[in-house]
Amino acid sequence: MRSKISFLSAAVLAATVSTTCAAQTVFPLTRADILAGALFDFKVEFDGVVDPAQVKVSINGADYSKTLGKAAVWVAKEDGKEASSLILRDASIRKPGTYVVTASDGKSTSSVTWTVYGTPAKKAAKNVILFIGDGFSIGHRTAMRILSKGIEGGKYTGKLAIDEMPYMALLTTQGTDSIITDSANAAHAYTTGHKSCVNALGVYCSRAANSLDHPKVETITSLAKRRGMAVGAVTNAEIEDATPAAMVAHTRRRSDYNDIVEMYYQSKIDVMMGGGSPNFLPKSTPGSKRKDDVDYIDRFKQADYRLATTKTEMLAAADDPKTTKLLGLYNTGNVDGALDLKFLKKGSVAQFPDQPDVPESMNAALKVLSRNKNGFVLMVESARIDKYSHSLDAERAVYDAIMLDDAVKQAKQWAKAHGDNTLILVTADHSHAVSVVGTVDDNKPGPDMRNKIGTYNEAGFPNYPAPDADGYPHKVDVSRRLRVLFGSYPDHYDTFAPHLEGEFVPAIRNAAGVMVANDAYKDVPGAELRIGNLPNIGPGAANNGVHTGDDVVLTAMGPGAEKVHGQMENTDLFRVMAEALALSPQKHAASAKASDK
Amino acid sequence: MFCPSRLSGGLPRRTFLCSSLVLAAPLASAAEATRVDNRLSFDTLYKTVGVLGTVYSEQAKALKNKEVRMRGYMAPPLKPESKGWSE
Repeated sequence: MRSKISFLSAAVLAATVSTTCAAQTVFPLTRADILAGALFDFKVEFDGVVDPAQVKVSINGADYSKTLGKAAVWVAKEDGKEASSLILRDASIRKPGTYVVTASDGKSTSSVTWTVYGTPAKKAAKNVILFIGDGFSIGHRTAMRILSKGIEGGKYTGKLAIDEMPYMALLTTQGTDSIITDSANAAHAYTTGHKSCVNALGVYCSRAANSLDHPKVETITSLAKRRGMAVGAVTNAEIEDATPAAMVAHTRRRSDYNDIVEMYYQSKIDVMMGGGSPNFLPKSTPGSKRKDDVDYIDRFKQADYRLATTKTEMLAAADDPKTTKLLGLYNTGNVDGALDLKFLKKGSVAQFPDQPDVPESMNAALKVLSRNKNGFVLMVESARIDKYSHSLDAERAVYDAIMLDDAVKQAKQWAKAHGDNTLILVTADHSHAVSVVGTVDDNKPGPDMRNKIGTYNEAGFPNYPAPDADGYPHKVDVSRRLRVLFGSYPDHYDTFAPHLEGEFVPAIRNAAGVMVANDAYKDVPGAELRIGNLPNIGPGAANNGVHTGDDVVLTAMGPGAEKVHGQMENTDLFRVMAEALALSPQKHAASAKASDK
Repeated sequence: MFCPSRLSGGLPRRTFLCSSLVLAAPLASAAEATRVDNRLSFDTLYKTVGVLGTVYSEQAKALKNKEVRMRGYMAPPLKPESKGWSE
């Protein structure tokens, strides 16, 4: 019986993960949902060098050029290799429906199916605010709720702003290459409505040698700008980092920071705020990370952007009614997280003492963007939930989750005061293996920290002080604190306590190339060595925790939010925004019906 | 990357990284290093590290084109702090 089940499972799995062994690869990939009128690059990759006279590519039975409106470029040997490709840039399909693409080289044929969908003719929402808690998982959510709200009579004394929203869904985050995503293809799914692979932004992952040559898909920034709307990206990561970059970028490699700065410039995005200034500076300026002498600070200024390098400058720029474009760069690296910025003053706070937090940046962005009467799309990211989860620094991650909630709370207030016509979406891009396990109580007897852990009824409740108005307890190193554990980790010393000295650095690579526990924490009283459960050698060696494939929660409110329910693909979030903003208006209800799910 | 100065509240590791790269050449030979008397610490390399660029200290600028001696080290992985992804 067991072998029979195994056999069946294997058969089902095979059917699930592999289609036919096709000779041709067609982009967009099969099962793509494409917004009618949105731009995409059409590409057919052939296995070897083929005779173009033998090639036949059709869409719904007719030559592809009839549907796509123009002919593709034939590349006999792509990148000089023994393989031919057909490439058509900036194609689009205006009419909603099902499209079957068939590509033949005269010997073998492969086909893909696309669904092209339209939107209602009239927009339901004037504005969209998309909040992304990077790596924001259920464990963070529970921990922040305990710290920010507290429990009385077994019930939370209040609701988080992110919880108090009428619509909720579970988003699945897997991509075209893997069950696990990174922040690049995860955010790309939200900003383009297409799936892609790890490290890719605004492109499908093809065999192109150059990271900028892969088949592109249009971003929501481009679509909104085409309709005269304003667009903004606010983060406390570097502005070139994957999540904000997904608003504008088209590259197979998210580390193309210098190219991404140029893509921001070309996108004409109205507001961009975060860290990461060195890629804006010409290489002749000490501290620059550019490889050329282009001064992007100057270029943005020449394009009428107001520049802010501190919170003070940002507030002044936003208050000026003439400001309609704003570039805010507040740190050379990431903007410091909430725990350092507001309480511990570690990280780079001494170096950059006047950085805004995420809600402050968001409010400045709202002021500037709302000067456009056609509405706006704003992406707001609390980025360091993820970064601190990678470094197993639970307290810093939870404080940045609280910062996300504070931003959402203020956005809800803004929306209510400005016409109640803003769709607000709050989600994560991917998850971490993070859980609230119980508490650690310093006052329990004995020398071993592990025996001070309370589980079940022994966990009781932590003794953090009451939160301030923004939701933060002012003290994190309390005597009975949350025990938050990460499920994936490298070798490290578990100190059972918050890292008041600065962000945790769990592991380092030793001289032999092996990732080992960071000895700096060896002598912290009570520290225990944890042997990691991730690779510690080779290119996959992990010096921190990794993303997981768990679903993430999406909560939503405002016009158009009713489409959020049940289990959805992460790409469906793009569709919710597109429909709310009527980004592909269809005259007849019947033709828009293809978009109904 | 682990930087001991960071844990003790000293320079952040980005500065540490830049410093080491800038002055890597003069440190190439231990024999050479022992010959020079121009000492520079990581704390005195820059006057300011700001959003719009770094400014070298007067002390560092006075040592332009001269051999200098610095004490310190970098430990792998030598990745900038923001590159916490799979690539």
